[in-house]
Amino acid sequence: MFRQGGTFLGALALAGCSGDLSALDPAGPAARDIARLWWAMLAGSALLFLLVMGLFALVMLRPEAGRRWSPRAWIVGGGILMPVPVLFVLLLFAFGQGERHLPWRGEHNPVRIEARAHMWFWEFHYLDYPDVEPTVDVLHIPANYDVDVIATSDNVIHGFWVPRLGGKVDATPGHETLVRLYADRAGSFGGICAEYCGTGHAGMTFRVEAHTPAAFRAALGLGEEETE
Amino acid sequence: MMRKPGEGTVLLLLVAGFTLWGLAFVQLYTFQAIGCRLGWDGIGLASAFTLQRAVLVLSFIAWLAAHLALWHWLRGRRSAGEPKGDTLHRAAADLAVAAFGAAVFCFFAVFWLSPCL
Amino acid sequence: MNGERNETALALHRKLSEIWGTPPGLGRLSAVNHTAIGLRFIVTSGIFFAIGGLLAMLIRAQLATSASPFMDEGLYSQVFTMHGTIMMFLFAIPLIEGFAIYLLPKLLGARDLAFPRLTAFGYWCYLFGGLMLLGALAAGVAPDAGWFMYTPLSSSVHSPGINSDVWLLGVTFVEISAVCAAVEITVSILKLRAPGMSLARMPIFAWYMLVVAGMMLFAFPPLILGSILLEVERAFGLPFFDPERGGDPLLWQHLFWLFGHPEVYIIFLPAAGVLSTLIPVFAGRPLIGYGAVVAAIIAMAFLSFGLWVHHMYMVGISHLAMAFFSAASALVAVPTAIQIFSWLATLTYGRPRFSVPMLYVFGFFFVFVIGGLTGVMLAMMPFDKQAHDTHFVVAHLHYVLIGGFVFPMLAAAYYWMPHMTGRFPVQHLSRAAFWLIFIGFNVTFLVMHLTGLLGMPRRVHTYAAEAGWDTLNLVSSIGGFVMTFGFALVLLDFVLQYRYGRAFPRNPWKAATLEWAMPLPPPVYNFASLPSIDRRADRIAPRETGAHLAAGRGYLGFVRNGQMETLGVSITSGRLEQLIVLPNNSFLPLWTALATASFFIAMLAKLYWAVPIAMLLVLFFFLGWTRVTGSRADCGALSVGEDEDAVPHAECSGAPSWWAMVFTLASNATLYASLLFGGLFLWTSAPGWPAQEPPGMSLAFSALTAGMIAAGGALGAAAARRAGRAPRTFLLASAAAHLTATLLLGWMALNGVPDRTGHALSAVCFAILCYAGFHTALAAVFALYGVWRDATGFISQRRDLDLRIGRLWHLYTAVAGVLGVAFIHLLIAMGSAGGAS
Ligand code: HEM
Ligand SMILES: [Cu+2]
Ligand SMILES: [Cu+2]
Repeated sequence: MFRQGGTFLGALALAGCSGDLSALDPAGPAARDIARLWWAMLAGSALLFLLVMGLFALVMLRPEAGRRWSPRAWIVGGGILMPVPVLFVLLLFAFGQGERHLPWRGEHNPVRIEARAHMWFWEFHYLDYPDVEPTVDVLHIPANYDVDVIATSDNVIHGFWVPRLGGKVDATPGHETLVRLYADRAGSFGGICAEYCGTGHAGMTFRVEAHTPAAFRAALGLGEEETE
Repeated sequence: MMRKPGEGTVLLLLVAGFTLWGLAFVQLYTFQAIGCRLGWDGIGLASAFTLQRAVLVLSFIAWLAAHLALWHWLRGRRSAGEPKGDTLHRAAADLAVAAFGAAVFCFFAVFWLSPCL
Repeated sequence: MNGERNETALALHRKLSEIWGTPPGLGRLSAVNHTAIGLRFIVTSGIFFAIGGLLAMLIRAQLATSASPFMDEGLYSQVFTMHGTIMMFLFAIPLIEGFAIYLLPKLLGARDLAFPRLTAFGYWCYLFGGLMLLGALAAGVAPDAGWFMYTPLSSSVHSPGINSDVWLLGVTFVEISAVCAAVEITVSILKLRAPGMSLARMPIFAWYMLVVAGMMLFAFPPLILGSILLEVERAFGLPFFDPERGGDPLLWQHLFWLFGHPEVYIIFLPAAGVLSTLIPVFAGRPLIGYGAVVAAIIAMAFLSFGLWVHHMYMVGISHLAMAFFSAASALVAVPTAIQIFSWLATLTYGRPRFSVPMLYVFGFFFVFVIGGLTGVMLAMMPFDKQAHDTHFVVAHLHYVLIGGFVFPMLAAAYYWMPHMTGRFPVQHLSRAAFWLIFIGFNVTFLVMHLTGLLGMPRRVHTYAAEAGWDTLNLVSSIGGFVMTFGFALVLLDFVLQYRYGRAFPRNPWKAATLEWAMPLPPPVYNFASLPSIDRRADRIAPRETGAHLAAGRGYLGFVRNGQMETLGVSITSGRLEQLIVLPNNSFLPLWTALATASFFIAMLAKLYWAVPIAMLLVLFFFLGWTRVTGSRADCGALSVGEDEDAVPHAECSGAPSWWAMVFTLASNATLYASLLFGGLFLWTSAPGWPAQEPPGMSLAFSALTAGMIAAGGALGAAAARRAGRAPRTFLLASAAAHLTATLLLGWMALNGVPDRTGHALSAVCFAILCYAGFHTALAAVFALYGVWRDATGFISQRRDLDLRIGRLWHLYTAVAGVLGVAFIHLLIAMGSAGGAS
């Protein structure tokens, strides 16, 4: 027990939570929300786990101590009254968060980019800039701006995932699925295919480059934004 | 009506509550999908309240009423003839209540979340 | 006095053993006895567990570091697909079937299950299906699209080899055994109990298995349907899942997970049933909250059907729809908690003692609670959007499956091993083995949660060193090998116990259930005479009861005409109702399973001309099963001992086989409903609708067909009411109507839907017509079978069972057929370019 806890902590210290693909190292609001949700759920789960194991130890070692509560109190209290409120609050929280992450139309329109999955690479089409050549395995986005990625495929199912910016979404042939990305700052973030798609699956990585507005236009080979 | 209960009646009573819950689930999920397909979400009734949401909310309330009615019936049935301490009949009534709770828990989001996005 | 009693006991034992025993040598292949077959299931699934475990070790060796992958990506995909497939379909499900088959009659006070030959048939299907998969693994053409076989990856375009066919056909073959077991277990629990054992007095394990068997009846059909449709798409080009031709890959996902999630509870609930059985024994008192537990597992069974979409949060379903499933997924924790707290209450109100099975119960609590908590996390949509398809999920599912299934089943193995072998373990190895497994497991999988959150997807055969996952993976691999070592010790422990364990008297654990009221290892007939039960069946005194029964003082403490007899009761009250005469050993199950195997092999080898021959062969053998059932004379009530009489089952309205047909049809109806819903689903979701070339069906022709189906059904059903009064005219007319209907349906299928390989709308209509045609054809067989039985004297006014079973089929066929024809017209109207869109 002890040893195993030690190894775990050691590994934790070594690996840390950072990483190019780490969901625990968020660089955008959606990923940050979810990371927070995770830490909160982890803390709550740790408490509940200790509670149940503590009760197990109690009833095994000092059974008479548990007879303070009636059998009915054990079952109704532990089986219903304890979990239902916890689950309900958690659910409200998660629903709220999910609703917030939906690709709503805000005051300004998000940048729209289509991610076409192939076997086994990604091709990004910049829908707002029809003249821009699609890029392969590199996705340019403006930082500090909403970006809607529309994932699709004309072969098998793939998964579009940039862990540091937000949740993943499947690229299913015949369907277009939407995910909203937002990068807090300019930078380069790892992306990876998350749905098993055949022998090339492990190698189906890509990069997301988030730029300042000017750099974004430059990266796409567009001129200065004309001011009206 | 049922003077001599059929062979497996108590089994039917045991699953009655959650069968209702299952029907509610199927109906709400199906109507959600069909509504989005037929564009009910675009038909506003009052400000943000769309036809889609109206259909779902009304169905939800109807199902809750059905659950309560079932529970009432099961309770009446128990006190009418069945022996008081009968474990299974009590479990059937408890399950009807649980199914009501499950319906509230699972479907309350019809009031709130976005139905077609 | 005592000596005399022993002598009668011995004489009775000899006579019963002779009748119920299995012949030696090759004759063993004809065994139908539930103890023998149950053990075969258990041992075979153990072997598959070892193979699946070896594959897991290959996976862990491959992933140990980023540097040295020793398998290429193609081999690796076969290995992880086969690991998952073997563990789920060839290990977990068959193991619970094995335990249920072995234990249930002993717990319920019966001499065997309701349909011994079906038990044997199920075993052969399992074995042959499993061997098909293993053969493919050995030949290097094993399935490689992951254990949930997502299409289009598994379609003929992207998986042209036979790998996917092996999965679809092999798993379906194994599934046949699961559905057979489900029907058999349901009926046996409901009907084959000791007199006096009402439902409310059943041992709790029987409740668990009743619920599980019920779930299996409804959960497997969607997968069977999905597999059939996908195989038909691969083999004949009907586009159910192809988005370019009006199909939808998401349909497969819905069908798969509609099975796949309940499957997890089908695996967990029997294990929980084991816990509800063992914990009271080691607490030294009956289970607290029996009623609450029964209610909880029923609730769980239903809830588990309402959360499959939590595997599909990524596919673009609307937030509200996902919320239904998310809430149900969270809610399923509640019935689980009710059970956990019932167990805690039982322990606290008892005098808990520690022993090896309890050690595994501790392991269960520790591991399963963590798995349950991560399950609730994954049910939350935002979190799942990050964790889905990463190693976090791999960690979660192993916490649930190993904690919630393997640990309880090891507890069960240590607990019932003495029952199976008649020997008591040599304790020393057991504890060391437990700790190795427990520590190894947690080292492997606890860190894996983090690996997943750091971004490592599942099903990758290699990863970049820069990703920073090396250390964690190495730790996991080391843990995995420690755990394997633990499992090897368990195996050694079992072998030692079997060889050198000390013999011991009855009831080593001081349990209070019926399976201990027999000599050990158990005699083939279980009980020399059957008990009558006057209290909840977990409060029995096995020692006294056992002696009483062995002396032949209960029901049926004699042999009559060399028949294998046991008792049937009414479902709820457990009142004595019928005398059930069981069929003896037979090679027919083996032959029938071989014929079934020839069907699957013909499909696999693409020898499509041989497929109908194989089907006829299967039908032929199944008809052969009926040669020893029924009787040619009315005999009325017979004495069954204890001063009571009962009618033989052939003369009883609630005969087991009648109920079996009811449950089979319920399962069948689920398959059909999945098909119809599949059609509606494509209409709402698939791209490429409305169809450009919809089937053109004449309303008049359809009406004629529907009328013919209805007539055949009505005539066949009416015949049952005329048993003993020349039912033959009705039956012959019914057969003629059904055959005509079959021809009409066949004509519609061949000519009415010309575009069946061009668009899913036509393909679905075609599938519905085939389904209806298959049923009318079989209905004709039922009618003709009735004629044959009537002609050979098996039918009388009292012995109308055959006709009443047929009646169920006729009625079902009529309803399903008419509904199908109507549905087709509706779907065409909605889904064609001219109709509403
Ligand atoms: C004996 C110890 C076990 C170890 C070390 C182990 C290890 C693993 C690993 C590492 C994977 C992930 C493979 C990948 O994504 O590349 C995996 C997948 C899986 N395992 Fe296990 N496993 C074990 C036992 C079990 C058991 C007992 C079950 C079920 C009863 C099981 C069911 C599964 C399933 C369903 C998958 C998913 C396969 C897929 O992705 O298609 N495993 N296992
Ligand atoms: Cu991919
Ligand atoms: Cu699930």
